[in-house]
Amino acid sequence: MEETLNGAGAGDASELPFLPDQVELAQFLGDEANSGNIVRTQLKASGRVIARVTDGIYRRPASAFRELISNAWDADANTITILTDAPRFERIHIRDNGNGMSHEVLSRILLNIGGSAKRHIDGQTLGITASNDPTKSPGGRPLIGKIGIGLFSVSQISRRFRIITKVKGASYRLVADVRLRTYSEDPNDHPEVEADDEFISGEVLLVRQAAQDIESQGTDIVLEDVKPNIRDLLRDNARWRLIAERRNALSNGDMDAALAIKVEEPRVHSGWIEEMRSNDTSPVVQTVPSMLPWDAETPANERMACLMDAVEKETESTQRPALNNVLDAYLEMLWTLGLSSPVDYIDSHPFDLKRSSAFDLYWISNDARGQAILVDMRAGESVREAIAREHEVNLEDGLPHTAGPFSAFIDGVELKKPIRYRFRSAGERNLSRALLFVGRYNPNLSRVSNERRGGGLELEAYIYWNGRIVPKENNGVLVRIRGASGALFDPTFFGYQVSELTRLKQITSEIYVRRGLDAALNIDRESFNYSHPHVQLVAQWLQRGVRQLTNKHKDLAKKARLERREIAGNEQQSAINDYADAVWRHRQGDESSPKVVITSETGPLSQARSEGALALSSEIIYSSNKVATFDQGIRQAKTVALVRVLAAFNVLDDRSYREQEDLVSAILELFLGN
Amino acid sequence: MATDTEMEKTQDELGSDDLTSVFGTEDVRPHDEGLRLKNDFLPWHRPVKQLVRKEQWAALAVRLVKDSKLSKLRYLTLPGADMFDVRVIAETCAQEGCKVEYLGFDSSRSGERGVDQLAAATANAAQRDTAESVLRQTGLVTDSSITLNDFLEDIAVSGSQACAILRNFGHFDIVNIDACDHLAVEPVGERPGLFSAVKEVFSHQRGRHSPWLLYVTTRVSPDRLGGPKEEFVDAIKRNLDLPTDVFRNAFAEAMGVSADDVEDVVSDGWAIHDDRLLKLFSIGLGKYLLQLAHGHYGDPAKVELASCYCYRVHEGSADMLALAFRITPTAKRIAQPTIGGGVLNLPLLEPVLAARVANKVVKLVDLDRELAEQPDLAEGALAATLKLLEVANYNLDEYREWLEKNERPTPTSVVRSAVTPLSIVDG
Ligand SMILES: Nc1ncnc2c1ncn2[C@@H]1O[C@H](COP(=O)(O)OP(=O)(O)O)[C@@H](O)[C@H]1O
Ligand SMILES: [Mg+2]
Repeated sequence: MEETLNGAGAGDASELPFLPDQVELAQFLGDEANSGNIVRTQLKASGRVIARVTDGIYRRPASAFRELISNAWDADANTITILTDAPRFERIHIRDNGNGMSHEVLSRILLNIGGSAKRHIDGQTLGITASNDPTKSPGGRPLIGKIGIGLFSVSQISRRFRIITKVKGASYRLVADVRLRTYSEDPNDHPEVEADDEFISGEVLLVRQAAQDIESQGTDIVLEDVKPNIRDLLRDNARWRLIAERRNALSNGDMDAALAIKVEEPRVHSGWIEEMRSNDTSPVVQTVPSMLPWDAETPANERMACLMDAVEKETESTQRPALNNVLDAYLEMLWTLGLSSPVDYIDSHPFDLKRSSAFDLYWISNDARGQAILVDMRAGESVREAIAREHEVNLEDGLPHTAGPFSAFIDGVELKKPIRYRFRSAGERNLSRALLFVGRYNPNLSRVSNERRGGGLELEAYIYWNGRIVPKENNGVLVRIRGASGALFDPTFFGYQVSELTRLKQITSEIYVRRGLDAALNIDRESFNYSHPHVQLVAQWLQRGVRQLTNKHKDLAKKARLERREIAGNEQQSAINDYADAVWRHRQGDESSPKVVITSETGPLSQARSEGALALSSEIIYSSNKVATFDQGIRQAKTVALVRVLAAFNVLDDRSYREQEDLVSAILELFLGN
Repeated sequence: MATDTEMEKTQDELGSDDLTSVFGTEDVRPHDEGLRLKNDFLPWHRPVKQLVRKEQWAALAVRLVKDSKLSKLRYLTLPGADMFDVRVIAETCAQEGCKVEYLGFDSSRSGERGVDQLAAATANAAQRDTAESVLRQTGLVTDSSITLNDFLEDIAVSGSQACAILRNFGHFDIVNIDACDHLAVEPVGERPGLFSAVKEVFSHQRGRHSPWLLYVTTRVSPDRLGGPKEEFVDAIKRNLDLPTDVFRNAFAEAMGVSADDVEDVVSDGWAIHDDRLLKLFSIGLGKYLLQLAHGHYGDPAKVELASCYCYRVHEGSADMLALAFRITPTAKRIAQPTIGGGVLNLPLLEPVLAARVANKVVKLVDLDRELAEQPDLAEGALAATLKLLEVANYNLDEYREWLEKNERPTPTSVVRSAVTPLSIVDG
């Protein structure tokens, strides 16, 4: 084992004395006789580092569920079912039909937290990896796990949990009852800490029970007593309490207090129970009954689409809906889990999209200065097929796996990736269809030494431009390693420094990493170690791809604008209009400026909004007396210019339509009202 | 400088609410509960209960599965930690390729009680988890099957969490109210009684098109009959007051009295604990449910008593009833104008169906007697019970000892002379 550190160029060092043992090393250094002698050793981590893990390193409860879903995937399960007891969240069950844990595996994970046998030769003898490839599951799936701490992510949710697990063919079943300790750095709390610094994180009782059902397999995990603060997070308690407070303030006539509370009720939610403690004589009552986007009859596999519909419906009241306005914490967690799990897309994988008028397909160039090439899709052809035909590349992400399908269910909802590829217009001055840029990258790293390379790297990706990205959380880049992702969409595209802010906000991108990058993931899997070379390679490739897209978009938008100008002919241009255009160009470059519509009719208003225009109701913005009687022609021109200037400074972004109208109305009142 | 004791004095006290909201509850359960071999034997561990599970619950379930061609049997139950009912029904249905999807209510953990009870309740939940996992991993029940720490009674409270869960689950093929206690007892406190839950189940099941089963197991004793008894009496009287005698005659036969004396039985039969009480209770409940289901003009249904058993738990005479009702939705009724121009209150079919309930009650089967008279049956029931106990991690030696020490009360009254072997081929 100790020879593994020897890289290609380390010939000399291997002849030096090697002292891996702590006592020996200390003796060596303490001995004056060794003055000037070089000695070699290895860095080792203390058990305490890992012990911290059992106390939770994750920021959100969703992280723990994500790890458990990954474990079911790694165990070749076809289904995993999570029952959360929402909106109460008292006891949580996680059940899968995967390979289960044998006595050897269970012993190992309890006594070796952080010592995963996945991606390790031990995995084969334990039967948790494929016999010919330690990076794959026995059924051939790319393994997501590697560190051996994911299971203990549940410590964040509950200090008591039970594992009931069975391996196919075994005549026994194992039941483990785990109780964790709260991590403490007060030495008085742990008299039994061992001298070798192995850290005792809790106590486990195990029993082997005879099983009659020899052929069955699977794992059940029961989180017995969800921690109070986690329950509060899951049930969105803080928000509901504020809403209740406002209701009280209103009914007491305390308008100041009521207005000070800005939170809104989520549009769809799982309900809220204020008083969770039941007793012998009174039932637990839902203070706010649930308002779910589906009903009891909706099949599990359609529910995630209902959730997405609810979020998309929000575009009727705001231009870029944000998830937490529409969903409560629980539904947002379902959303996040759908995004991060190796499950299907709501509608279709982007590589399986068929030719349509909704998008044009481009193939990303891997040359530093290259430009993307338009792919001519044939009728009935999918993205995958067109790329294979024109560029002789077989995109692999989203193809069926040898280990069979994988579905994850939470409380009767089958998780799906909540990303849709439906064209949404950014206004008639912009493109009339989306742009789908697809690529593959497999850099040759053979000239880099093993030690610095960090292994090979291979990825497939798409970069999708749409007039509007709904919800705004889907804007950015999401990196999937082996099908799973801990991080959400990164709207900075790995810190891409450009002025194309509007265009960047119109991009959804996913990178499917087939090999490498894994080592650059921090142990919570939610962020990257930016100094790892793979991160830099991926960021560089992505940013080049984004540049290819924005260049193409610029060209196309310019063409569209010119065509439009010809059609529009000599549209009456006032000085005020020219001024607003100049401000726009100054701030936003040659990004096309949004169309502004001012109307009193609700039909045209929502029509214009759905087409991406900045549309405001004249009823609202001209409501004050003075403004209402102002000269109509000048008022119209000034309003349009004002809206365009505000947009140029991004002042209107992320505001509901109503807020935009109130803002414009307030400014008009100042300048036209007197 | 402060001394140690002075420093302690300056600590700030946290209220117990604050403590639990930050630290959660302390572990009260002895850590090994739920893992040890179990030895706390209760009345439903007796072989006689296995007859109810197998001959009544499972047999009727499998018939429903076949008739309605179910691939998933949706089952509402009060399973207890052992989940024996689920196992027996699911094993039988598995032979027809049907899985059970259950929703269980187990209130034994709810409520604020002493540390001892809480410990027992937590242990109970731990055992239940394991039993559930075994059933699931074996493939007998679906992954979404779950038992909640709630009172079934709470479904009768609108806006309750229990009610919301029930709504979300949809209709059931079988509802098993296996009340180890008294169905008809008057509730204390805010919480409604179990009988209200039965009514709520009927309203939940409205709009269903295919037949479903209701199992009711309840203790019956004269001193534990509350409001529901009055509803049973009303229901019976309504049919006695009809111009037709079809129900009156059947009822008189079931109660072993002449048709003229039935009124006395209805008013006085509840006070004496004998087999007539059991019959009265069965007919009263059956008639009540029939009226409830049949009376819905929107979604009428007929109710049949498919099977009725009794046995003993505490007393010398039978004190447990195990009834199985089959509820079959019928075509929507068209209101029939009567001669007077009004609408007939009780269509004529109802008394006929009510009479059938009474006819069925005549054949009330005393399971203890069957066991005493049929050694094969007793042997089979014991063997099956041992198998269940083994899978559920019970100590079988201690079980045998327990059985011996706690001799079953012998039947003192012969409800039915058992000449034919036990069978449920009826209904
Ligand atoms: N649902 C499961 N089914 C089978 N084995 C599991 C399951 N969950 C965890 N394990 C086993 O426990 C080990 C530790 O899991 P985990 O802590 O998530 O680390 P990792 O996935 O990185 O190995 C896994 O390697 C696997 O052997
Ligand atoms: Mg893992």
